[in-house]
Amino acid sequence: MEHVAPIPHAAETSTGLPSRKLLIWAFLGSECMFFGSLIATYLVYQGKSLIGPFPKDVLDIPVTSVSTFVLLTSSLGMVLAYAGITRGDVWAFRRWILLTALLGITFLGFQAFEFYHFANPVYENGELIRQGLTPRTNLFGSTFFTLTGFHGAHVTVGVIWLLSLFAYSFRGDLTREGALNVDLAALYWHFVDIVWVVIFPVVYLIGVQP
Amino acid sequence: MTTVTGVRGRRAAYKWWWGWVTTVDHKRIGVLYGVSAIAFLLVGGIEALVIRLQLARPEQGVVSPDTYNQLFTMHGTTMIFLAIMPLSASLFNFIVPLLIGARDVAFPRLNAFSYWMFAMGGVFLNSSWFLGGAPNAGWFGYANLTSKAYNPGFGIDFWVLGLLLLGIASLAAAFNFVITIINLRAPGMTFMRMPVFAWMTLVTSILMVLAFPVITVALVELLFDRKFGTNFFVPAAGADLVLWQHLFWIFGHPEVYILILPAMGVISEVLPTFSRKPLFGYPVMVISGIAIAFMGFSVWAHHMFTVGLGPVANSVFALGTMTIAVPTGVKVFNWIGTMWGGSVRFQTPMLFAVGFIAMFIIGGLSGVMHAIAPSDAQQQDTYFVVAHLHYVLFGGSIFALFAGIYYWFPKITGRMLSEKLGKVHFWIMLVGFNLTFFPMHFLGLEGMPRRIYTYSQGQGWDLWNMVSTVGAFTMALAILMFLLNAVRSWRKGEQAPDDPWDGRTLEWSIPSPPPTYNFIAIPTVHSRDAFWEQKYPQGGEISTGIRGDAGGRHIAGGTAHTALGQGKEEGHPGVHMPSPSYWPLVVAAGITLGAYGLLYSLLLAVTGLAVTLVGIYSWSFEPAVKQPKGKLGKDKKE
Amino acid sequence: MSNVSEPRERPHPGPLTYLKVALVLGALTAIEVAAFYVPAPQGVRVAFFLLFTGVEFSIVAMFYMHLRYDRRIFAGLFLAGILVATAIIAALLALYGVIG
Repeated sequence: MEHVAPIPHAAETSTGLPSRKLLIWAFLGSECMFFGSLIATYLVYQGKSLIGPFPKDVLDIPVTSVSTFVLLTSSLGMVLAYAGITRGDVWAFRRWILLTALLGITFLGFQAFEFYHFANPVYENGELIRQGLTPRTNLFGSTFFTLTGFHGAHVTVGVIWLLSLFAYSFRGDLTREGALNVDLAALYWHFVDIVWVVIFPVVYLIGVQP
Repeated sequence: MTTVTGVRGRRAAYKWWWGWVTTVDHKRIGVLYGVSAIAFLLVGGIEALVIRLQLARPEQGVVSPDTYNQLFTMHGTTMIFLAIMPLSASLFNFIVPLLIGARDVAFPRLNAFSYWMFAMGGVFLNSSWFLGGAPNAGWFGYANLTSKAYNPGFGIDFWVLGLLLLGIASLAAAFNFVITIINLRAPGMTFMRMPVFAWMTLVTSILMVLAFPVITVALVELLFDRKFGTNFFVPAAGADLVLWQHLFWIFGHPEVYILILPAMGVISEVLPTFSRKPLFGYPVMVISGIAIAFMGFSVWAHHMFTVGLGPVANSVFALGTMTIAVPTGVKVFNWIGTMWGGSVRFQTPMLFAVGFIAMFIIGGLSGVMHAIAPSDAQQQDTYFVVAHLHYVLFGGSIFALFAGIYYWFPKITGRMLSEKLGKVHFWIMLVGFNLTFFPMHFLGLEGMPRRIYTYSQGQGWDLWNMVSTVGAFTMALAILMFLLNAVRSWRKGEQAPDDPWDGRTLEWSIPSPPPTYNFIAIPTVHSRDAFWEQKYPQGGEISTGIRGDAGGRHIAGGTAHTALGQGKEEGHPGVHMPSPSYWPLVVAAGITLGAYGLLYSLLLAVTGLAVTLVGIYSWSFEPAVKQPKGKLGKDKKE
Repeated sequence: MSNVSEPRERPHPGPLTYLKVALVLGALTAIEVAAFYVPAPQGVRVAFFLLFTGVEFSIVAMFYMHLRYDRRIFAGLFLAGILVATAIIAALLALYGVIG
């Protein structure tokens, strides 16, 4: 999605800034409204489920804290990948972007594990301790899975984007001038991380009494 | 019509229609949007005529109740999303780059994508008529009438998915225009020197970018309820149906400003030109537009006064709504101030502009009546609201958009529309419109509810309903006049000069129709109404023509040309225009296939997804400006 | 198309700064999780977690997304979305009696 650029002069745009970078920031602003509406729905329905399982029955703070650290670390990886490419160091870029993507996949793994675990009923000595929690079970299930599911989908798109950049770097075209492409992906990735920085306290820490 | 040259000088070696399919030229995309919008206007209009036929007399059976519900649902959805918004988009596309002195928008392929996504979304939505029935729960789809339990069948799914597709199209277009206006203005064109239509486009686009995600979430939640059995709008699970209303109207109210602000922008261009006076109070007009947009986010629950939110909530929203009338009123006074003391010519664009002001004032007055929550308790869900909304959306937006069409038709097509037919169109439309909708005020105050498929004898509603129906067919006649005018003029109307109206802004400084690259030399701007200043500078001396821009541009040949006389396409400059591409259409098609797949077949959905992904990747790796192959000219390196 | 035009007010920080930022973020998150186990009235907990959320959000935005170092228009575009989203959430929570 390039802007019309017959002449590559920096002064060509009114702000002197690349149009694509303005685009990604406008897009992230818009995404705030998207996730804001999902969070609003979650908060409006919090505590209103008529039947369980309820948050305290399923949410596992220690495990989710680990996945939160994983995602935060992935942002560090992303930042180092961008620093690498702006130096022109393609090998550093490749190392760090691969690590970032792998950490993202790890986060998704945690999410998948969590979803699977929630969905299955829990028995102890043949007795039912709690029902399974699915999107259909109650309000908590619907809002929780939709909110965290869309976040996970955004992470997935991010992972695909990062791996594509990784593969692209082997075509020999990803140079210093291509740093903007990495910057755009990085901004998206950090945003996805920021959304989790909001979801984790709101859903897990505030929503559950210890 | 511009010839398709795309890449420098080389005539297209393909069929004429392929040029349209692969175009990324904002002018062609503008034409595509405009023609499609008019087509959908006719579809929505026919739906309205059937509604009016059914309501002309009490206790008729022209259509069944269920069909009637589909008719008013589709009429509203079509007019808002497939007629007014694309008509505005058509003008954004064609005119805004010209107004700001740019060669195209910031993201030409994204622009093409937004058109194809809109067109396919519109077809998808309307295909419901033939695939089991159109949606029937109103354009606002209140829960839980829209639930699977109360609305089995695919109608509502078509509505949900159709709006999601159209939302993608609108967002793509909005992002494009935000960046274009921020980043591609001609040198010297600061924000406060930009024409007001460009400002309103910017403000509208920012509104879209912020409001559409909210309805996206609402639609997704409804879709999940219908498809996956979630509980967002299931009372038995403890859900609150009013949440749908909140989410819908948090989008829905900004949406009506999205519908009116571009129209107001058009008026702010037409009035000064036909009064031969600058716009009165330019800074205030800009600030008012921003204020209206910003405040538009804070009044949504005035659509919910009768839901039972309580007196505190109702008061807050009532006060906010009344406050929005202030910047709106300021704009009206400034328009009047523009005409006052001017040398006014009442050609067709001006007739529509003045008609807009009168009709919009009426609509605004009934709007302020709605703002008073207690009085709204009587008006809500009656024909009084139908009167209000049509006065602002038809008497307002559509009149203004016609003003824009008559104003810019010469620039777009290179032909003049017939003044005589234009005046006939205007007067018949003004009479027909008022005949149709003014009586609805009375009907509403007399208690006739909305969305009823018939009414009993002896209610006392017969006369006004009949008058309204006669008015509707009169409006149809007016539209026919317009179509006749447009089609005839496009083919063999009088050739249009570059500057038929003695205009004030940059689009009149280039030929009609403009060459592919718009401006031979991007002008340097020193003031508002840049073109006017150049034609009639303060000092009274004849200007020496457009100054070329400095530094780095390959401008080869081409004399700076004056306001008179047609520019020709030879001697075009050495600029690279973005190359045509079919990937935007492919991505739009993939997404649409996916939507059908969600309704009918997982395999189709997966295919749609695959097509979309292939399209996106191909798009990303395709250069925006392909180097010319062959012998024409030197190979220009980026 | 190059990005050599100046998107920055000031030069971006180096890897060492980023590492420090990462450690700060890690520490903040650790404190948050630890605080989860401290009993306190719900109002206090909410205020505490929202504060920490805001701080972490800002740190990632300012440093990792280098808004602190870039031209302000980027922050403006982002802030518009954040502010409107926050206002809408607050309004809905007020309407539903969750706050106020």
